Amino acid sequence: VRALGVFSGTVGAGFMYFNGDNASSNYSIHTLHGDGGSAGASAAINQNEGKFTAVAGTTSTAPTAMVMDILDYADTNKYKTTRHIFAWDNNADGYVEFASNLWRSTSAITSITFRPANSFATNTHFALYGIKGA
Amino acid sequence: MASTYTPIATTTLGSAQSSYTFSSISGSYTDLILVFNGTCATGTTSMNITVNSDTGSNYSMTRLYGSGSAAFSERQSNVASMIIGISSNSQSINIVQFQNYSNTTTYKTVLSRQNVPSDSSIAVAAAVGLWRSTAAISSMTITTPPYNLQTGSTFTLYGIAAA
Repeated sequence: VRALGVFSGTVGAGFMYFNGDNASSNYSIHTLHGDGGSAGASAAINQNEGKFTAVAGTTSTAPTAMVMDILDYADTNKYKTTRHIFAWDNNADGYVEFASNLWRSTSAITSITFRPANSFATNTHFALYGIKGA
Repeated sequence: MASTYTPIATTTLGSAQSSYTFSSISGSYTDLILVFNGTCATGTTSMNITVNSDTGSNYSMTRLYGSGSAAFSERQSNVASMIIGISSNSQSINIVQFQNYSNTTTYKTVLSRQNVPSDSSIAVAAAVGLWRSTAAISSMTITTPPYNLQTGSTFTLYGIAAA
């Protein structure tokens, strides 16, 4: 998934979930992040949803960018792991996040939902690409 | 089905030079991916990009990096180029993604992943850069100031086609 998000005001937390599963504590996340002044790491387990950012702020003219890889999304023998880089910079502040999400389900992924704490604004752009098997 | 990673141009430097420019970039893709695999003349320095020959103070950058023993973060505002990569006299690899590069509504945000595998001061990094312009990107120039890009350095530009 590749996204170029425009947010109306502060981004805040951003959440994501697969196949409509957002109430069963099936997600965990680990992040490594930096805000230009310091670096940190975080973890959360048994979450109802995955996350694609912990906290951030941006402006409508300085989009937030994300690239997320979802590995073996159709494999029914393993839980699903994602990795992503999520970042924004508005000249005054900035934020970079490396993270992984685990969805504890062996189901093939057939839908992905992104849910910002606030709103996606006009001109937000998502693209989903598939990588074929070798 | 749309294709991904369409090669637009690739170059291997036959001699050392101070910069390399991709020009006349088509606006027909959704994203651009720049891959730099190369070296600069001396030490470790940044890999910088200017867009559309704009050398005004219209760029900013936030970076997260690890040295192998600790993690750091830094940023720069109102600078004359996007300091979006790292380079050294040993090998370095930088992969930079320009998202929605031809839209004329928003400023341009780019993501990069960087590493210098054999350098002890900066080992691996990720960064976000901003060019405060709504113009479509049609050219980009890569430098590693104050050093030259070295012979054998490769630059490849891919386009990701619209879905």
